[in-house]
Amino acid sequence: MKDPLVRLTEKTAALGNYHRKYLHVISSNIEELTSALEQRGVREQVHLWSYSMEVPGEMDTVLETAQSESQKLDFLGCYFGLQFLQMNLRMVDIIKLELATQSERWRTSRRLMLEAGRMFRYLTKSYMERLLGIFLKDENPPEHVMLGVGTRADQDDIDLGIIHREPGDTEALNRAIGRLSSEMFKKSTRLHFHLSEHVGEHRLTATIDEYEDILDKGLYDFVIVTEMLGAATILGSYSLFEDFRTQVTNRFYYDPAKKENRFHEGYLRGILGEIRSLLTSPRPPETINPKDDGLRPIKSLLSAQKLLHGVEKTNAWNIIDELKTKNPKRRAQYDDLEETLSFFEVFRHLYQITVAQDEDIDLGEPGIAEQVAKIARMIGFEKKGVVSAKDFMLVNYYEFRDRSIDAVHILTEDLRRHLHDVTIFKPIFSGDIHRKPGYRGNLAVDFIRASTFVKGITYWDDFQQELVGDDNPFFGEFIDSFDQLPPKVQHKLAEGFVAGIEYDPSAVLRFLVIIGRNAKTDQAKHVFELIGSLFIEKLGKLANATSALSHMLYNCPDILNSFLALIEWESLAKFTELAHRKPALPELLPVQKQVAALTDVHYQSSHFFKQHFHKILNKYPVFIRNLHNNDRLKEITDGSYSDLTSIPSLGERIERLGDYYDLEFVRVSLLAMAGTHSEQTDAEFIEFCDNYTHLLHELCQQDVYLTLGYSMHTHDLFALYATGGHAREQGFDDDYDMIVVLDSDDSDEIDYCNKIVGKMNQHIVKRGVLPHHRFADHFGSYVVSFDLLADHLCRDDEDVFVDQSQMLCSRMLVGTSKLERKLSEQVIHPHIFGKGERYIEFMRAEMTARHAREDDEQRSNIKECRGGLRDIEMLLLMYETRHRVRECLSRRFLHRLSELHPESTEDFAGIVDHLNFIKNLRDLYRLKVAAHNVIEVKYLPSVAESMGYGDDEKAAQVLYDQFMNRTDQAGKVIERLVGKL
Amino acid sequence: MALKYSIRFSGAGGQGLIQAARILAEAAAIFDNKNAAESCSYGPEARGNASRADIIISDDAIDYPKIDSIDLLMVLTQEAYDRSVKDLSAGGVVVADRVVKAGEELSGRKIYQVAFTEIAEKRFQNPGMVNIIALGFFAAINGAIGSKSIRNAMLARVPKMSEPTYMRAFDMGLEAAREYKSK
Repeated sequence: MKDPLVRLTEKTAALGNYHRKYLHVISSNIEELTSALEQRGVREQVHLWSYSMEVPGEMDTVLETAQSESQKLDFLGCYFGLQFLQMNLRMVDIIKLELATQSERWRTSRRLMLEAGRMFRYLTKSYMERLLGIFLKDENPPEHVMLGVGTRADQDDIDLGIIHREPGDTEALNRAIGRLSSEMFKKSTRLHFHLSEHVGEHRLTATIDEYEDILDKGLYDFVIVTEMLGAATILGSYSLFEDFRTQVTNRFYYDPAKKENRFHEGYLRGILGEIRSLLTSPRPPETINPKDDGLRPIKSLLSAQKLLHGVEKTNAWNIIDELKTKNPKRRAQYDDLEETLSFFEVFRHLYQITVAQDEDIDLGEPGIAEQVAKIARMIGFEKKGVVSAKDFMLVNYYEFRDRSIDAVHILTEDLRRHLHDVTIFKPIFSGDIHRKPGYRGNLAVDFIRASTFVKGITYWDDFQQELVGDDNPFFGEFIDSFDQLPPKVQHKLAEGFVAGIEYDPSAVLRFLVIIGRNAKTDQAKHVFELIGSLFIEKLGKLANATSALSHMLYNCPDILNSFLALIEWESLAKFTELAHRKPALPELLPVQKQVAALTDVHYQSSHFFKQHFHKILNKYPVFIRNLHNNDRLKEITDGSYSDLTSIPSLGERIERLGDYYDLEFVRVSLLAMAGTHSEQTDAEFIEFCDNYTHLLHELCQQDVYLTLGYSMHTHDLFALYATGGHAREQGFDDDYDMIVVLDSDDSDEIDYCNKIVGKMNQHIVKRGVLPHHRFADHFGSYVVSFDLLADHLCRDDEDVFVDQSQMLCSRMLVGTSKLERKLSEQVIHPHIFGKGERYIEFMRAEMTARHAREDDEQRSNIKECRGGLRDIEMLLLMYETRHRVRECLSRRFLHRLSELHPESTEDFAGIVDHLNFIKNLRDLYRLKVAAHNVIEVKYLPSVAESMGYGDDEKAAQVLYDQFMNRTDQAGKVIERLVGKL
Repeated sequence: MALKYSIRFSGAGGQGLIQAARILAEAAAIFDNKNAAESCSYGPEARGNASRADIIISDDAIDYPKIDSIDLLMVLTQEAYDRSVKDLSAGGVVVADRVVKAGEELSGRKIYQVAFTEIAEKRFQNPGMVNIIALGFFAAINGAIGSKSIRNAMLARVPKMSEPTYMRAFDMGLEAAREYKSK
């Protein structure tokens, strides 16, 4: 027969490694214990190798066999270890059996988890009672009660609160508890005394008076209160515990008869902030954490709900049972919480006893997925078709999590409403205090003073809400009161407002943005700048600033974006430096990159870019989290475009189409700023721009029809042409040149189409782009007929050459091929190509005159300088006229010219290369510096960085010199090519 | 003379320093048969940011699990160092990541500086193992707890299939200590 220790060791291999500690204790003492029991003739009275139902009695028998105190401790520890291992082995067997056969899986899980908790408490209580008996032998301890204040079935540690009542030897009691802690650390479970760290002067125990004292002085936080509210006796004086409840914990229950429920309110604010923080914290994608994903939010919520509904139970399931009775309208939500709790508890329990006691479960770590699969089968999940038991369980995991989050949201909303009704700040919000005649206080100071009744509060949404709104009198009064204080006091007060950053930086950020957005006066701006700079300073001093920044990005990306838009340049530089700090935790790296991408965009972008960026990002926070991920951004913008057809309201559809434009503008701009070649960004820019114009025309047509109540069939007669940069397929222009032609002289039809174009203009302007209608001034109408156009372009005066160029480079966006043919045959061929020589001469003269006027500033003008964009455009127009072809004047045409003129292939290839260079430079200058054409070397470092030159002044100078040399060279090539015409 | 030694582990939340402290305390108490006590920060400030764990190792019974002054401070970030250096005992020793900048406040006390995070990233390709590498380094330089006990306690805290990974990280810490001593 196998040695029982060997057998137990083998069986324990099925459990997690931490069980080795117990095997170590057992193997060190089992021989001596067995021998002592046999010598006493009581071996048969003690279950050493099987689970016992008589633990206290058997522990006493074990103690009777020991000769010394140290032997007592060793024997007792050995017996505890044996029972502990067998308890867990038994529990695993029971769970496997019951969950594989029971149909009501979550009800059974609840029963099993309650049983697991009961077994663990039974064993530990028996052990602790006997250890204390040993350590307090011959002592005269005061009356005391030991309270369990944490999760009851958690085997990794036991959270304790110990209360004593004098008279008695308090020092002896504290010494005994210290030894209890040491002994249990060695042979059983760690004890934690979080409550003791905060209460009293007796180190590990405290009196009721001492508890009352910290409450009265506000020297506590909601974590302590949660522990107190969840306290249940392990051993000791029950009447002492009853007195503790009456005098201490009852203060936190809501009492409608009381004028003020200050303690109740403080705790609710702490819990509401905690729940929000838990639900919005970023989570690594491959990691699950049952505690943070479900158990903590649920238990925090229940701890607050029980105060509202007068529930005194401490076990989460029992609290839910009573809440269902006392608050029946939320029964469905409580049912969801109950099931999630049961599932998460059983899963976590099994993971902790069979794998490891970690809370984070990284499914990507080698071997972990297999362990999770084992647990899935233990819980009763089976492979179904191609879905494995593990995947099936994980789907359930996320479904339960989502259901519980929904329920938590609904129930926290109830708490918020309740808070609104009972808050002690009501007189402040309503103005009853500070607007009363004879008031000598200060609103800002009053608020901070009133809000310090409990540490760690992060829920101040109601106060913040009171500050929102244009010309809000409460906001004005708040700012005035702040402004009246001496600078030192202002600073101190500002520190008070940012104090919560350690607990929930997002809450402070929200407050700041409210101040910043409403800051119209110098005083308000001063308050914002003072609190804002302290916020950034304090953020930098946090142990893990990256974690706080990640939290903000996940929790409120729109608010973070607004804050960055509101702060001054110097603060933005400091914030950007923080955002680039490498996170200590690898899982935060992806989020840190997102934060850095956001701050970089703010720090290194022009007003031209920001006007699109700010407009759209607060509406689409998901965009903010993906600024560094073009593929994801493209999915979002494509989705938003495809989704347009499903929007029933025309107005909303037009608005969303505008959002599509702005989102795409931002996406393509980011692509350019990341160093993508202008050929690609131009193509992507023109694609979304054309999509936008095309659909906008359709929607405005419908709008005119709905407004007028009738339609005119102008479809085959109407043509909309882009001209200028858009026509040449160049992105990032800030104007939009258009020509609208109608194949009709009917004034009603022209009027109808003018209305459509007028509406289009209204929406295009909202995009920050100015629509230019080339012929509108001349004809007094956006829409021009073919005949009028032909009459105009056939003239010989100088202005007409410019209009001819516009017409020549135009590109049809809306219209039929029939109309394009008509324009080509009736306008372009006879009136432009037909007078080609004259046109080319005019262009040549204009180019020469412009070059002759060139001064230093003009030399740096990327559009107008010799070899600049204008020269390239004119070169293409002249060659288009020479060849009498209708072509889009883009890079494609340059390639074609290279084929048509093999003798100039090298020159045309050089122009393509040069166009790419100056287009890259011009786009980046517009996006990162300003939408100006004159390039200034002092602003070039960030542009140089995107173009791969480096990011310092030296790199900027190299880039600038290249710009000068290249344009100079290109100017000569262009002159040579023009000379060949 | 009976041993009483207090150690603080401090860094950014989630660097695994609480786990490292627990391993050390269990190594002393369970495998070296000393007395040990461990406590860590749990208030609202610990929800995401602060990370600190204190342990006391003693031949005698420990009446109170809180430390008065620190004999060995193990820190991975500047903020953690700044926060705790004032609590260092007269003969206290600091083990710090190379990113930490120490100054006059040390008053001549010994400091070991090792690029723990860099080792974890470059040689181990897993920054999450920084705590175990630091533990290995501690095992090599301390005289209070046996290296074998620390290794056993570490293995008792990790999933079975992850044992080789942790062993490798621990050995890297030992190697870093050997390199340090040979300089």
